Amino acid sequence: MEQQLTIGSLSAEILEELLQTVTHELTAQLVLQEQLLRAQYGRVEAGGPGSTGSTGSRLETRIRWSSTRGRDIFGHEKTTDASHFVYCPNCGRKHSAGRFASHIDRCFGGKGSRKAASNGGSSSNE
Amino acid sequence: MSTSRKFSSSSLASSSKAKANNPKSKSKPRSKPKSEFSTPILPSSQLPLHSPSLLVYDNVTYNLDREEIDPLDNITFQPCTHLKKVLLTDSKEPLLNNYKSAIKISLLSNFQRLNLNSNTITSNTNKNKSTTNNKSKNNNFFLILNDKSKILKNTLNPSKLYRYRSKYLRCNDCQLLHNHSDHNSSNISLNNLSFICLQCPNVGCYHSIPTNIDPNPDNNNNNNNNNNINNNNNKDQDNYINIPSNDINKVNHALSHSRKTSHFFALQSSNSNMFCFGCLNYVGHPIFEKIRINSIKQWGINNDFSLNFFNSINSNTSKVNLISNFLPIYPTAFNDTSSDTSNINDLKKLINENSRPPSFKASTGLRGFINMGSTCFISTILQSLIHNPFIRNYFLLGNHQNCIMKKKNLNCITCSIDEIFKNFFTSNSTTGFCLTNFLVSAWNSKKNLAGYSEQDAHEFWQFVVDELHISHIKNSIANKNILNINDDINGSSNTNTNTNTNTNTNTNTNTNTNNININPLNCDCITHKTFCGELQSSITCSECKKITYTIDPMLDLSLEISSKFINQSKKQSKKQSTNNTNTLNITTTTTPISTSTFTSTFNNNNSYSIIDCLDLFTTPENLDVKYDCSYCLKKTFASKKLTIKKLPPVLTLQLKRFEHTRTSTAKLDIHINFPFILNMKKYTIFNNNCNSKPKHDNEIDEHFGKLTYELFAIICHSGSVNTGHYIAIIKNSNGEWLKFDDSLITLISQKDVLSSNAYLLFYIIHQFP
Repeated sequence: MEQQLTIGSLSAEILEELLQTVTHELTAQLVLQEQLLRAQYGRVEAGGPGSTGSTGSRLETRIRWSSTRGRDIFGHEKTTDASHFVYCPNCGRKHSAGRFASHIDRCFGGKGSRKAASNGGSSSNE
Repeated sequence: MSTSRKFSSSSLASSSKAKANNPKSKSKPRSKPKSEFSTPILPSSQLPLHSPSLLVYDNVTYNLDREEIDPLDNITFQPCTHLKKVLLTDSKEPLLNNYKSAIKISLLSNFQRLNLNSNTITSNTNKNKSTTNNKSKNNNFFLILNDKSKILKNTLNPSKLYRYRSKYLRCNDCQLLHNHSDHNSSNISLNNLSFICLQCPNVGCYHSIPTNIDPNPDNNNNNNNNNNINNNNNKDQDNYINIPSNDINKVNHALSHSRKTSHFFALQSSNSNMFCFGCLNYVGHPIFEKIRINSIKQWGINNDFSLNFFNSINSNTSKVNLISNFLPIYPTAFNDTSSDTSNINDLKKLINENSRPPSFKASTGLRGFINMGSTCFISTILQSLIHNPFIRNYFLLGNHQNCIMKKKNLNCITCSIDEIFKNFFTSNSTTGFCLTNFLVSAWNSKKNLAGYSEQDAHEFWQFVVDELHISHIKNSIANKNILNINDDINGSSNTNTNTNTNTNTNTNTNTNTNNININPLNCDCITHKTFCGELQSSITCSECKKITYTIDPMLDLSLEISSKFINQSKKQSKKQSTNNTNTLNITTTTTPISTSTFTSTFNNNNSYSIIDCLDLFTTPENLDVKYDCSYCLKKTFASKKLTIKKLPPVLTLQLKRFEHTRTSTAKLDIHINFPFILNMKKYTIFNNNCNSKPKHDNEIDEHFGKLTYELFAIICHSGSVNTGHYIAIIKNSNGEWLKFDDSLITLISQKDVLSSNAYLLFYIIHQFP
């Protein structure tokens, strides 16, 4: 059953072929990406908040991020900055992360507080 | 073997496309007994011993026994079982040769993207011994390829190529149908859907038809067991039966040809991908990929994106652009012909034994930063750099590994950024990262940007990219001159260097004795390669109408918001607070109303967008002060207009969200729309009839692809001028938007992205040229 050749059918065919070209292109690229990822990491698996810290083999797979409210993509809840501690490379003491920037200023600067500069004149060695 | 005669190159060379209707050449495959592909495959133990599982082609050895292709070998499609079997037999040589020819045809058939330069083509054709059959000394002849059409020499003319393409690269069966049917057939076969058979000179079309076939590519790749292969073949046979062959014969001639002749492999001419009709899937193999890369390189197409981009956008080059609908080339050491092939296996062994790829989670590079004071401006800018493909690739490729400052135990901010990259992309940790080293180095450079007090994110961005530039300069000086950098040099940007004696020997620097001054337009550092563009300011004298042009480098664009709109929105917000209407429910996207800043709700009558800001940026403005015109030599009024001469790969836009009144500075929290895709054409010099007229019609189209940008990161500020909080919203490679709020990373919808108040916007080139 042959279609009648009309302007309408001709333009529809042309449009369809143009779209097919674009889809082929996109599909090829996506298929390639997915093949490479699967060869390396396996398929995408569902991972809830509990699965992120589990066994080594789990880390090798691709896990879907969690999008529950109040938690980040890894399933953690928001932690306060006070719960993290860092060691200062200068004095070697342990500090709360939230106060580390001000500690650096005092520790490296050797004075109580630095020169107040509101909009960054560059300050060379004090 | 019976199959080897089918693939003999002599029969292919003699039959040109015009003779494709020759029944002799067509019936040849039919009269042959069934090929070995359709019979049960011999178990590997019964294969003849003289066909080794090691394939040597072009001096590189491939081990065909391995089930999966080592990712180090190639980055292309997985080979299917059919392909693997063929490569074990004698028919591999013709197949590879045909593939080579087909790739060249495919390259030429996409000639619109080629910037044909006769010099490169002639020099390259001398290398292609197999392509020259019929040399002619007449310079007007055109070069076309072998075995599907005649071969001639010298210059390539697009119109001739076009003619040859439409003549030869069309579906044979559609032509037959058309010739033999009386009534009008609406079968159109554009060459974009042509599948060039790799085993005979047939070209077939591939219109989509509804099928019940769902071949599972994993099954095809991971088994050499002949039972499974038989099962797969049977499965395909079953599925073949499901499709009424009438439909295929009308519409999908490539598929019907492959079934009739058992020719499994074809090359899709529009994107140079190899297709296997047995699996109905794209397939690849390192050997084929290497041929493809070599062919592309031989035709002068350079895959070095950064080099190509910067050369070609200045339109003075004869470099050819990579054909964008082809799969990108991922050159590895193992498919690059220029690398020493004898070391390949040693290298592979070294890599496999001493390293492992990072986990998938680590490879996404997603990690938050813990706020260590007032570091949100630092963490947002760093996140935007970490997920900037150019910057990320620069660091992950190890370009900052041998930093001279680190060797001398001197302070280097770039080294601490390098450490961040290393950590983010290899560690499995998902807790926030502590910026200790970075803050210490930043403190040593510029104390007020070390996170103790809140600062402007844009200012910090300028500082960081400048640091990247400076460390690049330092390292390149150290590498070029074997000179001891004086230990007085620290990381601050106003360095007074003591390298006076050797500054003049640098080849690409324009130095004076006080500062190292590099011309940003020629600078090789990652900052300038990624962010630096050129602004042209044209000053028109009102008297003599002559225009003076000056060109300045730019790293970002600072866009003002028109005062008209500001006043309009102020009135609106005042009206709202007095009317006490709750418009939050009515409008589609809203911003939170704060009492201390001016806000407006978004409604269709009053929307203001980045486009308007850019328009404002490029409209001519009249200068207040009188201008010394160098043509008419008078002090006159003048008007100045800014246009962009050269666009960088990453375009940074800053919205000037502050309003200076006589007494204070206020922040403008107005919502300003921004598009996901931005076309910069009308802000460039090509759209404004300035000095440059395009040399030929292709030039504007050439540049067109390079003028479309897509948004990939925004930095939003909430709060007032003096205090507030920054967050970053960045798009990942899957198109998902993520919100980075210090250590908390969440998914965010597109709607929410569009409704946020952006302060800094990062647009990246949409399509690699």
